[in-house]
Amino acid sequence: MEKTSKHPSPVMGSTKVTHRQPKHIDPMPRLVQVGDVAYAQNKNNTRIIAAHYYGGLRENTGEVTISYYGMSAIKITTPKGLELFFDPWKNPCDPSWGGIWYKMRMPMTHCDIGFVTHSHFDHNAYEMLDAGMLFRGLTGEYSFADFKVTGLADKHIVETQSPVYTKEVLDTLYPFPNVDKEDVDNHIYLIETGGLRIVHWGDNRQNPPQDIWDKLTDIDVVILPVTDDGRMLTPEWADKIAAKMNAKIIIPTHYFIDGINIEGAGWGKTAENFAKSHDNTILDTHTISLNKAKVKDYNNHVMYFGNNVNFEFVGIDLPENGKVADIPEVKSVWEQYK
Amino acid sequence: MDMTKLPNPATWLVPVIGDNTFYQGVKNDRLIAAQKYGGITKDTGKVKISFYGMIAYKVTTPQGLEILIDPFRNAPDLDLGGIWFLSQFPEINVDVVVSTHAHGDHDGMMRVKAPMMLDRLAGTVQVGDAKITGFPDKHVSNPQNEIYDGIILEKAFGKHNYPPGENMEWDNSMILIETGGIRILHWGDNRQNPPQEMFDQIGDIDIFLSAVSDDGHITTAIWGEKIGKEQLHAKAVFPGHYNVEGINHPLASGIIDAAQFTRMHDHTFIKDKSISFTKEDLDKLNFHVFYFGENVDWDVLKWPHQFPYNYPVSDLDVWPGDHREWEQYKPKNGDKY
Repeated sequence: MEKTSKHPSPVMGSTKVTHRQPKHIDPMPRLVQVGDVAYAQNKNNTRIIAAHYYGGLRENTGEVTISYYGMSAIKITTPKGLELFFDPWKNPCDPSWGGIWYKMRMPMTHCDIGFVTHSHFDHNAYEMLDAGMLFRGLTGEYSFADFKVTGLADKHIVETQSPVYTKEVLDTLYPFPNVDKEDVDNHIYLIETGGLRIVHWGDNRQNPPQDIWDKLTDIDVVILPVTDDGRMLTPEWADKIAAKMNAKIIIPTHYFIDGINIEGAGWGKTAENFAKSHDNTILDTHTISLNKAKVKDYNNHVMYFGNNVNFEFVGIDLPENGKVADIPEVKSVWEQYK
Repeated sequence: MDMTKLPNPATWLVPVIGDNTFYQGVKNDRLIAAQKYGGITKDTGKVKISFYGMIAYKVTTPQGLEILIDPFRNAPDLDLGGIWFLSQFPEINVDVVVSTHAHGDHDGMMRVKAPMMLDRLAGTVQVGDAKITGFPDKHVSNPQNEIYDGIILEKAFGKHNYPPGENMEWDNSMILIETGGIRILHWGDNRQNPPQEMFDQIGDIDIFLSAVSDDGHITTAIWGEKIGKEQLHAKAVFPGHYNVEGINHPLASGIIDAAQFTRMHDHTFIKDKSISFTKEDLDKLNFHVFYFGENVDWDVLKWPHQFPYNYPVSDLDVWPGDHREWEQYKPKNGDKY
């Protein structure tokens, strides 16, 4: 097989027309682009139009709710009822691009606006959102109704400095031919609503430049992908980042959840030890309500959702059944043609 | 040939639903520059408009931020209106891709290598030297175009296509871009009569990227004038959503070009692939129609279908020639092994 230094686009129907280079064999799998599927949604933009004209969807409740959906998926509901969803997850379209990570699908979830921090499958499943609008890689300041989201363009984590997830381990787990792993994008989102400043970190690198830190001051809640084994952020880095932002509350995400995540798919730990080693609240619910008064006395306080997510897992117990059922007779529908 | 080194055939048919930028190797470095320095290039003082077919327009801000609105594709399911396009949208790099609504001729975002996507925007985004505002409203359902009405549309798409109770396909966000002192409105496929309140919020427009074609598939010439002149007070008008040879299927959706509409007004037939304006250029104009015609900003493959054919027919010996690749296995001794 002839080797070429340049990869053609992996996408079927590419304008690079590989068939005009007959001696070239494409080493990449080709992908059928389905693209966006919002046309298949049943809802419409009525809530968005209402928020456009009235600045919200209900009277101000004075509280921001934060709800957990596994991985880094978080839904934030503003005091006037707008639902913002961050980083829905899925298995990759083809297992050869990263393996199967989840036992189940994230259910189709309602929100008004979907946000994606970066284009990895554990963050970009916006087709699972029944959303009025969708933003990927938002950069700059976005204002609508009773909130403002500032998208800060930066880069994905490269070196975790975890004792487990070294560069060699990650290269073996994710041998993608077309990806420069030293240079992957990520966008941090700063959400301002109801007087709170909330940061969704995505999988950003630990050391963004100073101009980004300058925007991330006096943070009330920071949502960080921290686990005990440092799959993304190690506990040490999470502490440094939270301290730098002066964060009042830390919400760990991107950890192993029994019932959703598959063991051995390149990770395995929760963030329980991280939570317990800090001033903490171990939550027994998937949704919390916060406001300025509630958060003001916290300092780097960890609120840990654990296994509580805002949907039902598909979990079955398999107890041994004493009585074995008979084999049923099949209805002989064909006899009508006798 | 070592067959084990060929790609697994099954992987050719992996559908990538939703976001595919991971596979395209998209990078956000230009956005980081815009975030850090407020722009990507030196201020040219001009806003550049280029056309990509259907109603895909690219706006380049004075400081180089490229915003593409409404790239097209064939819908993934042929039941959704059939094949509309003979060409795939070119795989171009831009900084921001915006879609007005969830129809195949407006939401081909997966063809475009963009680090930032705004799908059906409502609200305001300030990025680099551009301010992008979305005005959420409804899709046209009764175009009043004398060729067909909403009933045929309903038949073609098999869906209830007007409010109340319509689905996301029949909604639309108009996109306003403010940059270099110029206000540009992309109409998408919006209905002709959004609430007056919304027109008041949009205000006066310098450049109106309209959906006017001579058949009036989305906006008829009459409505185009009513909206552009009376409501938006547009200085420059670009037709859109019209037929381009080699891009649109000639029998799909019945759309034709917009030459008649163009000739009805002060007009310029644009000969280049893009046109640039300063605020002063635009202030001299009043509802001046700029028509790109078939001058899209990419190479469209056009099949030679005119008669008589005037293409040179080459000898088979010359092209492709008689390459007997099997002869490398020819026995050295005799005719057969």
